[in-house]
Amino acid sequence: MSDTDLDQTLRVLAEEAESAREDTVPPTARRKTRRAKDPSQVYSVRIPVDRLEQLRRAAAMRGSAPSALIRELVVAFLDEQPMEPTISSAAEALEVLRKVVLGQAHPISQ
Amino acid sequence: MEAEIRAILAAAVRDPAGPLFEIVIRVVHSCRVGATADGYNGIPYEQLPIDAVEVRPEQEEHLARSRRTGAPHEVDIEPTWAVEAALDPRALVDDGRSRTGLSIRVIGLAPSCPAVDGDPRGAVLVVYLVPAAPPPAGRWLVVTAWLAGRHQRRIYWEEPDE
Repeated sequence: MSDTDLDQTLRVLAEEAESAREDTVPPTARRKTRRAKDPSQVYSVRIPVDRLEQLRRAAAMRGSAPSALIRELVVAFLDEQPMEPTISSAAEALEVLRKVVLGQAHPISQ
Repeated sequence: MEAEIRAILAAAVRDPAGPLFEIVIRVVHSCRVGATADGYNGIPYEQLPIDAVEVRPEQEEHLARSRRTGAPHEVDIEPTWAVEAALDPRALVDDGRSRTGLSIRVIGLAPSCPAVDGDPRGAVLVVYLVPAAPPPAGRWLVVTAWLAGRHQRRIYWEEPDE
């Protein structure tokens, strides 16, 4: 099914859903008991058309799909980001600062 | 064979009021595939895998409800909220009275969506999904979403976990 057909299908189904909209929950509704395995959200990213072929080639050279390469690059970038400061790390930093101020420690050695 | 089926489906959805669309729906129902009262493709709703959820760009525009309908009381649903609700591990799932039997309805919590009643836990949303790949693949596309009504919110919070 082409993208156009898929979007048309979604439009038809959306109209169907909207027309049946009401504030009810049928007795047949079931509470999920199965947890998602590694739940993920598909994030739409617009890539300039003139870079798409370059992306496809780069992915092919690594033996992966373009989407897998994008995911790999984003996750690698996020892994490189500094950790969010925590209460314990802030308390530790304060303790080091206190010792430095009191002359009990050399700033470089900490 | 699969290509022919896809072509028939594509032709059917181009004319939802046409006879081909009706025939496809009847075939789907007679094969007991898609959404039934008990489950999807024979998988009970409580066990139906919903692992990855995508909002296509066209549906992002559809979720911008107040802009699309011009109704100021409609709340624009952020795609991330719809995905959160769809992935909610304690969501309620049913067929959403789908005539086509292609989509399911999920009533789930979106923690990052502000609740109209100020509930700090977030807002309960109604999200319709259609499989991006036949279940049990676990990949779904968002069809539409809106804020759950008062009754649906009450059932969501009161219904005990199974």
